[in-house]
Amino acid sequence: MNHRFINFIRGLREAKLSDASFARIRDALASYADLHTVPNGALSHTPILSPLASFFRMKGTLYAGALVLVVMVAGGGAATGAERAVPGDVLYALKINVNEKVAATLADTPMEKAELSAKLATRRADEAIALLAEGRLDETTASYLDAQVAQNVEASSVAAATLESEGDIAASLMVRTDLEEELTKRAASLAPPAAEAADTATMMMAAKAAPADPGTQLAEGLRAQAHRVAEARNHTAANILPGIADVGAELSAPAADTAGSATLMLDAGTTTEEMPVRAKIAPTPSNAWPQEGEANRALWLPEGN
Amino acid sequence: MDQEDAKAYFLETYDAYGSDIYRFCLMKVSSREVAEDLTQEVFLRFWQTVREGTELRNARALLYTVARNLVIDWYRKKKETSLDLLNEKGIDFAGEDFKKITEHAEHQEVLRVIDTLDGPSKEALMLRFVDGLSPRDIASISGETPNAISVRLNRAIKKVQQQLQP
Repeated sequence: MNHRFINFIRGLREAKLSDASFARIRDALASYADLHTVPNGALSHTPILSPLASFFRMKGTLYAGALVLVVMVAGGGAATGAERAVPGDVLYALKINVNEKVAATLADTPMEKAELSAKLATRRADEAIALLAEGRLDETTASYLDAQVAQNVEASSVAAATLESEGDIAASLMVRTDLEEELTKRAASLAPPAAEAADTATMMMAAKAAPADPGTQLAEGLRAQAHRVAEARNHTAANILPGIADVGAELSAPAADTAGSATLMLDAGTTTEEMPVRAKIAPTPSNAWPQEGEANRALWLPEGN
Repeated sequence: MDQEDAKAYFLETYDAYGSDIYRFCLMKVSSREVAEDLTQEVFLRFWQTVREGTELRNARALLYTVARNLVIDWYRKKKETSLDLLNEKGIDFAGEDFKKITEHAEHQEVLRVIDTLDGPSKEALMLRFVDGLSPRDIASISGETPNAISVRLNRAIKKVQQQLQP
């Protein structure tokens, strides 16, 4: 029934500033900011541009100098090098112990916490994929990353449960749906699902005979976590808020007049001091949810950056 | 933070939310020019907040709150009765920009149903589904509790669902 409502909402989202107006206002704002400058010392505690920038600000130049040194020693090009570091890299400790710790400190609402933990879980999986591509994923690292994923999935789940208890069921559903989707995708990158990989008897036998490699083991771990997240989400969707869930199911369907387009964009955006807000309304209950492993359709996509 | 950092943050915020705030204003005032002016004013005020060093926990919710207040001021200046109308209607889909959406027969039906909702419900519904704000953010904008917003949204959705049954 709701496709009319959904299409209507889609239509409303089309209303945007024209490029010319957008640029004109931007220029006016930039000029205004240049004319009305920040008084010296007025911005001692605001706003935070990025976790790394805030780290510099909090700890002063000593840490900044140390970081520059680390970056130079590591041979990386920029401070963002740490963000791309994988286990075994010099900058990995910086990424885990500084960048991510600062981000965790900045996340103070349940939504931010749920989003951040979900992001960290998928980030660990990304690291595994990068290591696998370089042939550096050994058993120890795989099991470390597996444990880290589990820990972050758990943290995200706790924060999502808090969201539910505060009445924001839709936000909880979004977080859980996104996380399941991201984990499933990464599991497939690490190792294709058994059914696809072993489509011949020979391959199945080979798979059985050989012990699973770290990548396959980790992929199984990711699938198990995705399954866990999906179960929690389905439970919430089916039992707690059927009303919202129904709308979600409708929103998830492709637009009636845009065949094949299953993606409805809403740039909820990110500000520099907020975690990205994923505003995805998820489908539900029973069979309305995509089955595990099946690609979920992102409705309102988050973080453009 | 120095001027350059502050300005970069300010413009980043505009890039991220400029169009959202414009759409919010447009839904309230139904005039592209007025909505553009209001959008600019919202961000000028936001810059003042940044300059003053006010701690910003949720820039997005703040932008919507400022926009909402400016829309109310605009109606006040325009005519007292318009403000009553705004409170009653909540959202105004008249105007050129919504023509394409509202002239569609199917959309007219939805519009008719949405128009049966009270102003606050309509506003909450739009902020939730069009702008993607959380009930908590909507609550901070309208000065209510997140629970009240969640309940309102739930009722509004049910009402829309019932009335749009084929």
